[in-house]
Amino acid sequence: MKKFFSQTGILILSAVTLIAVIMCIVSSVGGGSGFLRNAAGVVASPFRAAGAAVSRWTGNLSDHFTSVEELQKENAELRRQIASLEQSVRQANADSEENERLRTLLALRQQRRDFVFESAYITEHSITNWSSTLTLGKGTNCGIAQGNCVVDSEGYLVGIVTDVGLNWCTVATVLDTEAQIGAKVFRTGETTVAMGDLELMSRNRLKLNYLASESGLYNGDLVVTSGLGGYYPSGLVIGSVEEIMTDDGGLTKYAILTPQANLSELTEVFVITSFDIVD
Amino acid sequence: MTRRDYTLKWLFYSLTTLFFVVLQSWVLPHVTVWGIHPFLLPVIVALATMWEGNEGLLFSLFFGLLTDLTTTGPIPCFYTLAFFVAAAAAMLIAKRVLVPGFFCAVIVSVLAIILCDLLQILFLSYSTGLAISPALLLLAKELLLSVVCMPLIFFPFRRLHTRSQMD
Repeated sequence: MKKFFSQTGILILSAVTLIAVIMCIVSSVGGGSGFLRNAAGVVASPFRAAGAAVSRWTGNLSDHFTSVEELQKENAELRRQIASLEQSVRQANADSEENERLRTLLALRQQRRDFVFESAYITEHSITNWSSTLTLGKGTNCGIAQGNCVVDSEGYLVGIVTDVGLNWCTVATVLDTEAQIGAKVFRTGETTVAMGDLELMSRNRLKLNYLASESGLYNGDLVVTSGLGGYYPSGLVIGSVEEIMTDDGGLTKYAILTPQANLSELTEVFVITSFDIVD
Repeated sequence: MTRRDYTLKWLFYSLTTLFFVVLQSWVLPHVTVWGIHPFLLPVIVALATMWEGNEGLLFSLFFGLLTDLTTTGPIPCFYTLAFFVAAAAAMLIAKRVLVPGFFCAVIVSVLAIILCDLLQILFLSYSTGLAISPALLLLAKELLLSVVCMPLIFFPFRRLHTRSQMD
């Protein structure tokens, strides 16, 4: 046994190290998701899926123990919200009819938002403090591609697919330093860029950059995707403004955003594999 | 030491490690201080190598490979490389500089976390143009939190090591 560790062991050690270093170099030089990353992802997929299944099961188990009092409170709050939303829907229906009449009158094209969704379970949340990523159990075999937007069940933006393999994909959440999304302030229409920031990531916040110094932003303003360039769909809710700050130079402002999606509680998300928007 | 003893020793090391991996994946992300949670995986490889020398180094490689298979690093095989570097540093210190024990464990754990985080910063600054000062601040916070949790791993591993020496 000692011989194994002193001779065979050293050989295995050297071989594995060499393979690891070669894989690192090939990946760094190649960029994107090459064959090696894809293969590693395919091999790892069953492990991740098994872990996620156990996690979901324990999560469901703990949900059974949520107090009845808490559920009653939530129920009452939801009833209030439903009443308020029903009123909004009635108003929206009237507005919609009026909008349609005016469009016909002016011979404008009909607005439409068509999305094709692919649902996927999260098989892994990143475990380090250095990134905010999710790994999903679906990939190119389900039509998912790099750059696809990922939303939660309410339609709030969760992140962007950054890496995709045969049966897996990695999503950089809106908090991740890799995420840079064209954004628009819903109230003012001002276009900016929402991006992850290492300092804010630990506070579950992101940054809204490149605001003009005369920007009339208020706390609570809703920020949505701008859709400029046609790369991402427009109108997906990213988050709301929490705080407005001025850069060290004093020339530009930036805002701190609270993401609308509850990223730590997600178990299932929806990937927008294709979209067609006419505004 | 017989083949059975070796197998049993590493079986217990693997089971203890599995327990800490579960802790890291499902419990520690919810235990946050300053928005940061402890990262114990480099501490596991550093302490295993401090007690077990060459065998620990081999263990760190397989543990790195398994971590790469089950989690997403900045590049493929990131953890294989990072854990191997951390384990090599731990072995060097435990063999040449300090006698394996609590103080040595603190030093090798600090070194392991710093090495892993520096590699992380290196790859992230290459791929995303990461700002260095917030990255170093994050490193310091993570280091502090993880070293505080180090005894959680130190005592079970020391027990495993002394039991195997007695056998």
